[in-house]
Amino acid sequence: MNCSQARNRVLTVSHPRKASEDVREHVRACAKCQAWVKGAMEVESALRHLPIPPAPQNKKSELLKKFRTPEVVVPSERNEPLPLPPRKRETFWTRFGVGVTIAASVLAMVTWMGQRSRRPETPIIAAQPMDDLLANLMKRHVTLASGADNASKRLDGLNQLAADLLKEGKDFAFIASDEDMKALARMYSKVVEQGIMKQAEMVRGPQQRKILESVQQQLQESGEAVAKLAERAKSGSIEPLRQMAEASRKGDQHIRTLLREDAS
Amino acid sequence: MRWWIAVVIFGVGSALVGAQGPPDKGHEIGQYKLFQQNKLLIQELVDHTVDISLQLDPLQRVETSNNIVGRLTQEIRNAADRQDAHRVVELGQHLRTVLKDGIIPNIVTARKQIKPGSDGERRLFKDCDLTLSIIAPLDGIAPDDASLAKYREVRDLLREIQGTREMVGNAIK
Repeated sequence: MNCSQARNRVLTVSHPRKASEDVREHVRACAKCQAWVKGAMEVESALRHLPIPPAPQNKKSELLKKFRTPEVVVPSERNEPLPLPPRKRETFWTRFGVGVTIAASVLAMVTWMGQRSRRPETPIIAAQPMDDLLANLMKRHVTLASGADNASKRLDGLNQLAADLLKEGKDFAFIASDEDMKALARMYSKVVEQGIMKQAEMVRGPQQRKILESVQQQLQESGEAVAKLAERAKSGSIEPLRQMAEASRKGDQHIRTLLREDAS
Repeated sequence: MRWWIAVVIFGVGSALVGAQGPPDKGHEIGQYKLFQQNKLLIQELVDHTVDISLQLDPLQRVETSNNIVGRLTQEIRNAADRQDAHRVVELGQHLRTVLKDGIIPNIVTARKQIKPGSDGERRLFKDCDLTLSIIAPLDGIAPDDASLAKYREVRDLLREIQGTREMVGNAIK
């Protein structure tokens, strides 16, 4: 047994003499522990002599009076439940709130599912191809109606319109009826001869040459491509394709003339 | 390992050959069918687009675009009679575009240029009234009990066209 263990054992009893034999044996043999026990006994005896502070006056009689007055038992006399301690009350309201929230959520979900099952499904229009040519032509119309505020932009819009029609003419050359090919050729010729060629005459300004050259180049290439296609197209498409090629050639020549005049 | 290399070469080769093959004839045939369906509308559209490219007067442009609006409205009504919701929506979108981006900007420009009380103003009011009267029959194409009204796209589109009509009305104020 070491000093610390012996001292702890001494503290557990009311007097060192009442400690067990092995503790007492250690204290007898250890001078330090003897001194510690002596000091502890002195503190113990000194505590008995410390003054006790007087109690507040009438405190005892006041306490007794409180216990004896009927007010203390009022809640039980009224037959009302005793108020819950604050902590318990808080738990009750928290639980009540959670319960109400869950009930409201369940009710809302049931109502929503009920409405959903009653409501007819909104049908979706079956996906079908859109008319690309019509969409492009609408775009050109709107651009030329409001977005093209000068001749250059109008010429560009008409050039794109012609390109849209030419593309359809080439795509349909092997599948379209003769009448439809003729209709396409008429439209293309009108755009080139009454649109592009007239608009080209109105193009002015520093950008004139560049724009005219670009349109002339496209007309030349378009004319050559369509003329080549006419050589191998079905018989009903040959004439309309040649008409398109001729319109392209006319436009090409007209713009070349304008460019020559501009240069001279 | 060699087996994997052969598979990769075969895959790449197939892709290249496929890319160089003939164009998709199915798409062209589909587009040609649509061309046949829309031929008159397309011819009218091309004619009026060439005309409008030569017109500088905003009122003249409104009058030219009104021709397209009239044709589109007629086609939409025909499609509605056939319960062709897809066509109603397709043409309705074009109509909305012509009204919103073709006619209204010209009305706004004309309103700024024309003096109040002038002949030009009377012509402007007349043109706007004409636009509104042309599209008025669209109100009745999808009543609540009609089968077209069950399509959300149709309902949305008609609502948008209604909004565009209000914009036309506001543009002349």
